[in-house]
Amino acid sequence: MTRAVATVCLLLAFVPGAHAKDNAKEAKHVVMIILGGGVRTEDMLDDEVMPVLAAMAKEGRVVKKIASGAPDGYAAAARLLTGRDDKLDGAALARPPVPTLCEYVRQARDLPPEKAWFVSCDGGDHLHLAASTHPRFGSVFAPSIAHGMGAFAQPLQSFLDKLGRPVPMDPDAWGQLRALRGLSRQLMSVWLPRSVDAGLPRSEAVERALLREIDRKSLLVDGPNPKDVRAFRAARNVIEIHRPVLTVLRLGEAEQAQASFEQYKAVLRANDTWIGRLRKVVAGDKAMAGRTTFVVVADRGRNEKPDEKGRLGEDDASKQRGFVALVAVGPGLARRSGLKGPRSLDDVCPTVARLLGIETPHASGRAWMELLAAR
Amino acid sequence: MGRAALATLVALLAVSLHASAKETFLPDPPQADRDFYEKRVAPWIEANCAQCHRGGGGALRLCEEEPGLSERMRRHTDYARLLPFINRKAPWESRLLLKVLEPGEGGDPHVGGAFVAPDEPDYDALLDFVSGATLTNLPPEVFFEKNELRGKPGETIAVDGRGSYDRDRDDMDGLTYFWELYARPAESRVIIQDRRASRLEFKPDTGGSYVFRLRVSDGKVWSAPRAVTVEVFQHIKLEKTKPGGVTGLAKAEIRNLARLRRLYLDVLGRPPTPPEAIAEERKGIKFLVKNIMLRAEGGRAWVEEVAIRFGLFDDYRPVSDDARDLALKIPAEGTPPHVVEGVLARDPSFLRRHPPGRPLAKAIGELLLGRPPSDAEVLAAIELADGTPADIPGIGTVPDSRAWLVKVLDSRAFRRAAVLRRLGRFVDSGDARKRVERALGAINEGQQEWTAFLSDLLRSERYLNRKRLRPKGTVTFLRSLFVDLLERKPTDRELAALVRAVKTLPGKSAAFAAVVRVLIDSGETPLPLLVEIRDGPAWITDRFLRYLGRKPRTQEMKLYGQALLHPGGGPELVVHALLTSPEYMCR
Repeated sequence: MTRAVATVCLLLAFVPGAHAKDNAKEAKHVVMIILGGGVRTEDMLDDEVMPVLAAMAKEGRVVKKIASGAPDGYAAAARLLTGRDDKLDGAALARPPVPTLCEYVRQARDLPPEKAWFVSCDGGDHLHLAASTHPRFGSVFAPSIAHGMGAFAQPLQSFLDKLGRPVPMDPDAWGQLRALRGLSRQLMSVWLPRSVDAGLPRSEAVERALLREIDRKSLLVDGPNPKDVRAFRAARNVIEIHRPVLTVLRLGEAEQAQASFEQYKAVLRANDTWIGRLRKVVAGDKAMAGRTTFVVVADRGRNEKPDEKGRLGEDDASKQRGFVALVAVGPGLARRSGLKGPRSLDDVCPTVARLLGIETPHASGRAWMELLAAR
Repeated sequence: MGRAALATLVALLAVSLHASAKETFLPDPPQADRDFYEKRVAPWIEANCAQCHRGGGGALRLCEEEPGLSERMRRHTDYARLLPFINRKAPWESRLLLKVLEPGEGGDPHVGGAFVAPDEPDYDALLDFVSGATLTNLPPEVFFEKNELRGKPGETIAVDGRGSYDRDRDDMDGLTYFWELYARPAESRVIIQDRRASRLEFKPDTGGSYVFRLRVSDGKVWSAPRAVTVEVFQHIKLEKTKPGGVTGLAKAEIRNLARLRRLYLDVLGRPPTPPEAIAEERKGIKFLVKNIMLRAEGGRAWVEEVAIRFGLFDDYRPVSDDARDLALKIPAEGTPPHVVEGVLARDPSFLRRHPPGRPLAKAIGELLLGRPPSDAEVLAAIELADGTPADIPGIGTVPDSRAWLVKVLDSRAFRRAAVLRRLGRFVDSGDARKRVERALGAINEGQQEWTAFLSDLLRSERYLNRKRLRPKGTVTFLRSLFVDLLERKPTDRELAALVRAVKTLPGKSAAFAAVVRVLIDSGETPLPLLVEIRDGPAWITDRFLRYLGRKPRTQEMKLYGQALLHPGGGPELVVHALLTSPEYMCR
């Protein structure tokens, strides 16, 4: 009997599920979403405004009272990504002087560029946030970048400008293509090398994601948050195609609060729907499901109440204005956060890095060890 | 020194000395002028580049802000640091220029973005600067209407340099011309009659590639040289077929068609067009192999593929004269594989692309020696990156990374690996290993033996009747798509943009399939409407012959027929399915 138990135990040690249980203590992938443009904590956790995020908060961990204090979105995002307050000028859009989270991850894990992504709603100099000017990091460990039209469409821009974008594929056509490619695989199976992946399901999934990014329909964007939608689309494709270790997605349309409180809420609702879609993509990918942690954090707060013209500014002295919240869900987190007292934006970078088992020597913030599962 | 090493040395010297011996007649192209920089370029650099590059970002390090340093001194230092980013022999390819140029206009990817387009005055000022303009004189420029010409043996061919111009004057009277015959087939005796003529005429005495280079002078400075290639062979006039019709390939011998397609793909890196296939499929294999091996196109394709395999594209494109001239010389000289790869690996871009340390160890192992680097090699590479001499297993102590690279390139292991890679393009890996010693022997005997060896290999039954499929390389595949769909080769810019995009994606076929879709919907692909197809089965058969070099089987005809008539299908779907099929990835 004892021998039988020992055999079963030995066998269990080699069953993938047994390892999967251990892996629950570690995040293999992190999707970090920066709700740029200023978002109040109460809106992030409101079932009616952001139901998906509120549900994530209930399922995972919430850290409130993170002191923001950044003068603008660019400086706040720089602090979130570098873990240090270098007082970057939001008007100059300068590169950070110390490494960003993306650089730390690539350097520490010796990752190729496509395994760490910085996806942004803004292009141009806003992309300077992706990598620092630090001499030992910088461009050598810079992440891949996607914005606007997407990661695949970007290098193909000149080609697409010249030849035009493809027509969206008829859904029926995919079935036909699958059958025809399958027949080719079957007939050539004896002589076909293993490295040829045409006609295999994974290859088709990547192909569909690529075409979705470059087809003519991709140019059409509607809803209250067009720039954020483009960034979400790019992030979705990046996740589907590359399964990155780290994906940083920077949004910015909550800025519309400066024009109207109602518009701001509409943006948050639309962004919340997209957060749900991203989670669905991850859940549908066997390699990422159960191994991916989502971290959603606002860059700065907003006034407690809208003004008489219905605008939600950022100039009062309320808690909603001075503090932001972070929601994290997925493996690698402690059962109970146990975090007390105010925290800083500078702590987010070291905390997310520790979630992936990486140190951030140039950051001045400290990792919230209470939030992380014991290793 | 062994015979092999001696042969390598001789081959390398042949590539490098050939040019230098002839160029002693003329001074080098002008160096970028410091006064011109200060007045015309420095303000632009300050406005666009200083923010990142003065702070230490990127490879270009502009002078740091220092108290007490005058503006003039800073500009002088900036000028000196910009010089390595200028290519005097081909100013238009200078990194300084390409890094700030729109990628759609041929620029390189740049983290800081693009700042200029070719029609802007700032671009002109930068181009003038890298070309060696002074405040009082702009250097003249060579211009050819076409950089590639074609002709037949015995036919008089004219190469016209009269489009060259002096940028300070409107008339061309003041220009002086200087021509050189830079490469010609081994057995040719052609010489240039008048080196100083503005227009050159010559009669090729044998088939092959002839490369002429022209420099012009305005009396003050000589321009950078530009090359024009003349391909001399029995070429075929290309005629396009109507999209709804059939090409006539059905009458061709299937076995010949498959052989021809294989030869084109393996040697020229692209498939034959239907007119080429129809004209050549019944020619004897001896004639075919000779005719295809003569073409400069094959040399260019080979060098392009090796450069891309080494990662030497975009920002890392080769900059040395030897590397630039390599593609022009291969068909004329029958250059062996280790020389081709060696010239590209010796280019300064190789060490920039694979910097000292772990990346270099990986590149030396995987790219040059055809095996992963050992742990000892990786550790030694890390020591070298720190500036410490290191012991490399099998090589001994080397003082720095370059010395290690040079020793590897001189080694028999590298020569063998390079030859194996080249043979592996034509035959299976096992077969390549069996033939490698004979190939090395032929290389040692000289270029004619090597050319004869290759020719024998391409005519062998084993090569021609190979059944096992092998995936096309990235570049060959992209070229194939353009030729099969658009009936033309991709331009350098198109190829660079596509390689860049495809290289960043996992797997291969998905990215290729997306490119197929773009080309099909581009409006440039001559595809018929369903009603224009009179005979569906004949049209499908024709497409199989064009793209796969064989006829469809019964089962395929049935399924493709259904796809042709399906409401969501049509001719586009048939072509899409064929060009994204696993078989097309290999044939």
